[in-house]
Amino acid sequence: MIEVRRMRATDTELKSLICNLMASEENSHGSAGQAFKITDMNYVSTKPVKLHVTGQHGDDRPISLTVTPDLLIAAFVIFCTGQGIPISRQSVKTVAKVRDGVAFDMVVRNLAISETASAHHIRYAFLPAGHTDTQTMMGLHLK
Amino acid sequence: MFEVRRMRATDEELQGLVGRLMSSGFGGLGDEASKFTIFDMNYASESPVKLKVSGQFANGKQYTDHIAADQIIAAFILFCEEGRIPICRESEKTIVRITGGVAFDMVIRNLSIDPAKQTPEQSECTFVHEGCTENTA
Repeated sequence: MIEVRRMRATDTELKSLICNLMASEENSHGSAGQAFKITDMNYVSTKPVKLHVTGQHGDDRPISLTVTPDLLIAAFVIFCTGQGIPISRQSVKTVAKVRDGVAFDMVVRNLAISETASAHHIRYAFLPAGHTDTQTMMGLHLK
Repeated sequence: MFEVRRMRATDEELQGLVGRLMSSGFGGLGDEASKFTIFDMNYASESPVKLKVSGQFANGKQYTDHIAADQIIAAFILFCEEGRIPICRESEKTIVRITGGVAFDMVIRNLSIDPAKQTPEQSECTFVHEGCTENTA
């Protein structure tokens, strides 16, 4: 069995996701409470998705960075972790540009269906908080 | 933000899922149904998906009946529960016929990205916990 999962974020929502990513990065460096504000965001490329973001830290330090697909995946994973939304550790994770934003795709293959199925027979591990899986698989399209 | 999730099962896999559902005591037959073997499975209708299943329980009792979309959803939920695959309680769940099998779709709308709501307590999306099932779409 195959599971395909897609989370869609609009550009506005994407900004919030990147803010959360930056805030979590700040927290990991021991400077908790520093809000990050995006002033501008543009798509550098759509395939692979790459963004150029400019903004300000809470203490007015300006920042300009390029957000790669791996970072975007990390932003979605951090969002899911923060919301308590379980995601499969073993899923193949990709991001793709969609009409009004970005889609985060997760694909899990070979989910076993056994007549004696039990939790022990199905190897389907979920991502604990603080872990990311940035494997990519290009060319995925949902119907 | 919204999430669309699709689990695809081939006809053979669907047979396994329905077999598990029947073996689990679906329809109040649990006491006599330690194992259910499907002899034949056909699509009675494709939209909405409806199956005609015939098989036999371990005690020899024969069973032929229609399995509606809600029951197929229950079969998927049972599979997820046994595999400890978390599914969102509040998602809209549907079954659609696809080439070679069926797809179990779950749609969650209005996932909030407001940083102020970034705590599980305030999340609008609750998941089925271990040991709990939701057998309705």
